[in-house]
Amino acid sequence: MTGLTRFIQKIRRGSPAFAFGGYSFAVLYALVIIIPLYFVLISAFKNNTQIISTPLAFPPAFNFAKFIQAQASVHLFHAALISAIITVGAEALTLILAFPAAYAVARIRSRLAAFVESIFYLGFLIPGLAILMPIYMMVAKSGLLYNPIALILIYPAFNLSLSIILLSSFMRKLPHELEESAVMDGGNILQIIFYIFVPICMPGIITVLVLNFINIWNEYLFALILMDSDNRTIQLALALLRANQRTVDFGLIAAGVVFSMIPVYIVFILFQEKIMSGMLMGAVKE
Amino acid sequence: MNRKQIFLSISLLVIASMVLTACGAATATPPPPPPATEAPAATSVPPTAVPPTPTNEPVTLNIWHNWGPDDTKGAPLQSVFKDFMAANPDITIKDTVLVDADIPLKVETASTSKQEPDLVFSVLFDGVLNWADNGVAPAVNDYIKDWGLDGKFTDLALANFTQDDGKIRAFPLEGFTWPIWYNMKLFNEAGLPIPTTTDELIADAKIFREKGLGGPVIASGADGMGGALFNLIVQSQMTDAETIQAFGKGDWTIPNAIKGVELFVKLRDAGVFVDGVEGVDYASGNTRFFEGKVPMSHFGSWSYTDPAGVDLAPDVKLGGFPIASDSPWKSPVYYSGYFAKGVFVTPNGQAKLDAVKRFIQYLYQPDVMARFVPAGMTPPLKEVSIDKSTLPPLVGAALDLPNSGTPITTLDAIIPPEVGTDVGRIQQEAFAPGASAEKILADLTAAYAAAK
Amino acid sequence: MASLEKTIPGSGKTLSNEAYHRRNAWRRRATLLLLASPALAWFLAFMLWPLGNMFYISTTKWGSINGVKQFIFLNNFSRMLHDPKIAIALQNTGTQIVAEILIIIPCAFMLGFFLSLRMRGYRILRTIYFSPAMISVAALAMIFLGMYRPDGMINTLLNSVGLSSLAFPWLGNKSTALAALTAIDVWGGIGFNSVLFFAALSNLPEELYEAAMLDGAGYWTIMWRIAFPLMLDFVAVVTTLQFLYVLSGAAQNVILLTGGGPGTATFTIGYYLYDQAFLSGRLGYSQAIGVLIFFTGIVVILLIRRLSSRFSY
Repeated sequence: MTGLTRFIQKIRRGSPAFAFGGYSFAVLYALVIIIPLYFVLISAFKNNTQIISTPLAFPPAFNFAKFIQAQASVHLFHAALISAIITVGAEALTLILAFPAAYAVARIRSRLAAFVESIFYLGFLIPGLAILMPIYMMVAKSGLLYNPIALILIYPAFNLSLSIILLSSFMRKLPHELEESAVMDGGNILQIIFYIFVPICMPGIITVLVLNFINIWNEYLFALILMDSDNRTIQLALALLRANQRTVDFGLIAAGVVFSMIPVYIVFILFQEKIMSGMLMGAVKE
Repeated sequence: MNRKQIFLSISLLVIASMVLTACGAATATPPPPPPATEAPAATSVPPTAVPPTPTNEPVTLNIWHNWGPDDTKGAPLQSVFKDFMAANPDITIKDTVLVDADIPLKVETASTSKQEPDLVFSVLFDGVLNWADNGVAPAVNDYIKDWGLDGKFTDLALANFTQDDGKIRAFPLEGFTWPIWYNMKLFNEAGLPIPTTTDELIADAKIFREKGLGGPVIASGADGMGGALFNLIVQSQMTDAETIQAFGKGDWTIPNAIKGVELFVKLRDAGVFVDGVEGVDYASGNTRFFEGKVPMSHFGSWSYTDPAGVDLAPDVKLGGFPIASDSPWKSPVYYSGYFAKGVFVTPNGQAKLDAVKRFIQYLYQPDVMARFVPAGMTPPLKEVSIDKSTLPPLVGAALDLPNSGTPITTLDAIIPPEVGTDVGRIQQEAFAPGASAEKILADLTAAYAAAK
Repeated sequence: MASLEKTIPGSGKTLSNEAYHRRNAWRRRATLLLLASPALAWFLAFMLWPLGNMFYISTTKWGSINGVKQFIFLNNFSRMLHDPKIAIALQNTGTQIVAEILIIIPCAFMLGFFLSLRMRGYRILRTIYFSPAMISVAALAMIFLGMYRPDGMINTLLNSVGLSSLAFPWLGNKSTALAALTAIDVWGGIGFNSVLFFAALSNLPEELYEAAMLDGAGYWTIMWRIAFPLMLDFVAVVTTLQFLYVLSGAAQNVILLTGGGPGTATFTIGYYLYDQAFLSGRLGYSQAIGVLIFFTGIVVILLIRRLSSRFSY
């Protein structure tokens, strides 16, 4: 890392104007992000008059009344539980499907591999809105309507494209000697994948897991159509919180928003370094 | 991977998937015709609850509605369910609270796989208008006849739910009134009586603005509730037949329709609405009025017992919206009707007809219906005795509305579903300063024309 | 050790070079298909089949899920040609796309470059920048509702510093509504993309910058004359992602906040699809719009690729 430190020192010595301008811009934008989030966070502890009159003032007391009210109104905890179950199931399924496919596409050289990869690229082009109805009909016909299993089964399909492309570009960077030595030892493909690739690709896997977690936890449209009120996900509960309102009670909504965001932020903070290193190792490159 | 490969693969996949789908779709069958209704069972229903003959197998009735714990009618509904189940031990009611706006779509999509609930409490609007025709909720004409409910409903209630071809779409449930709320405290302070003509309203607006209160009328310009005020004002210049011509068929060349829109623009430009009305949403409008800051607003009977308005209620007077001097109506106009809720029976419900019958007969007893009156609901039955003294202030005041105003019918069943959202957007634009009457009329005409 | 014969490990057999490769190729393909088939099957069932269904339904006239489908060939598409709302929707969407890309990409690149210099505090900044990406569409809509409301945070602040004349009803005013929605995307988009750029830029060798600095170049020059051109491929990827998002994902903001209004100010093509399918009972036409979105996406993506390959080294 000495090269980098030298580099940084040079920068600092070299162009204070740039550092100043850069920091100003960077900090300004950071504030632009923080202020609305701060606003929502503190509003969850205030009543409506306080929110309107002094939006950015620190709450007078840490009053959890709004959270309790939100829980009573739309059963936030139950919704979070449903979301958690769906997330775990869908994540596992996505990995099981994507990892072998990513390996196949990245490590097996053939025109077929390129073709298969292009199929998954197609996934980015498909507008979710348009396939909402056909998927609904499919789920309904199979009798899985209003069952969280339905979401566990369909979410992986939406996340396959990103997962496979991330994982495969990650895998491409790895040296070929990995397989050659395993083959020398007489290993078969599955052993290679499992014992060698999975551990090495951990950063990439974690990146994929975290990105998928965000997508699944935050998904709204399909959950709305395929789940009923007993199996509401956290996002549906949040939307219901607003729809139930007769008068403005932004504190109530804020409480719901904060509650729905906690798990995501916890996961992000825990895995931040892993994600970044995963991305740095080339997961994010064409 | 070069361009040619991309192109080839995409086309291959598109074609392949189309072929797959076409094969699959060819075998899809149209929805089955609704089953024939059962033969008439027992005779007329006595006014008090009579323990019915219990059937052997337990039945569960699935009911979808939006009267959750936050709704004023939620508690009465739950008590009705409870008492019904106590009196009918073999029937279990499983009710699901949904967001109002989601109900039509969810019922329709559930219906395609025959998983819809047995009964649906829904507002009558948009796609719901087609339910009797497309089999989602077959007509209830026979049930009304056979279950002793014939003649029990008020004429307007039945009329609201009857299609042009005579099919009655559902059991009318919630009658509503939708008057203008006048904050008498503010009016008295300003020394003004309630305006009954639009000229008075414009004069009052000037006085209120000078006092620093801003425009006197608050409406949620940002969503459908404000749109209803737009409709009301435009309708105040038209007869019922003309309303159907314009709002129903899209003919905005009728002189009175043009006058109606011009009246709206005139009021808006005279400052009758609060500033920024086009950005006010329903919850904001409610809050500001209930805080006592705004002289007039336009809320329905579902708000009469809103806990947020309890403090203000004694100061509120209900009335119609002022009319222009050349209006065909005789006194201030307000909306009144029964579209707010109907009980729809689905094919699944038809399969449990006995249980449904018992529930409906129980629900539509005058004293059971009376439980909902304090929540602000006008019951759809003719004989519901209401003791005014026991009613919350606004609910009681609403009963006097016909004395000071003229009820007219809402446009829920008149505006065609295909053009509903376009009209909503045009209404929101109409509330913003700068939209001329010509532009609004042109937009409306174009919207209806495009929908054909 | 080039030999014309190859030995298959594990068995004692030998084959000619050519035959070995051929057989190996088949084995490779089989393995590939085996490994990828579960994913492919899933993809086929839940993405491709519904996509095909979309094409199929776009040739019908269909009122509601319970209604009857009527085959009308390409009538929906000819209707599109005469539909004034299509032009409006495409225009609104186009405005959003251009605005977002022109604002997000340069800002994100600059911030990403700055982050990649790893100056003090870059880790905290990175975390902050990435955080909007975690917020769900529903939650984001609620947050910005609280900001944009006529009595919301923005207007309250403006009023308190005496700028009441700027306190518009952001979502209700024709001139500001689309900008307000676009701002939501830009708000989070700059941050998210800056972290992506950070990761990509961190792969560049340090010697590159050092060499430039020895020649007397300042950061600004390094950023735009050296780093940016090297990142063009990645810029293409990021631009593509952002474009696709606005094309169909941004509609959720419209659904949750403005319903396409006021008038047609926020009426985007994605929203048009939703409106026709779920609000106005024209499923066939809505899927035709879906087809339009799909092909527009393909065309633009190919265009972006063309442009980036033309300009990069």
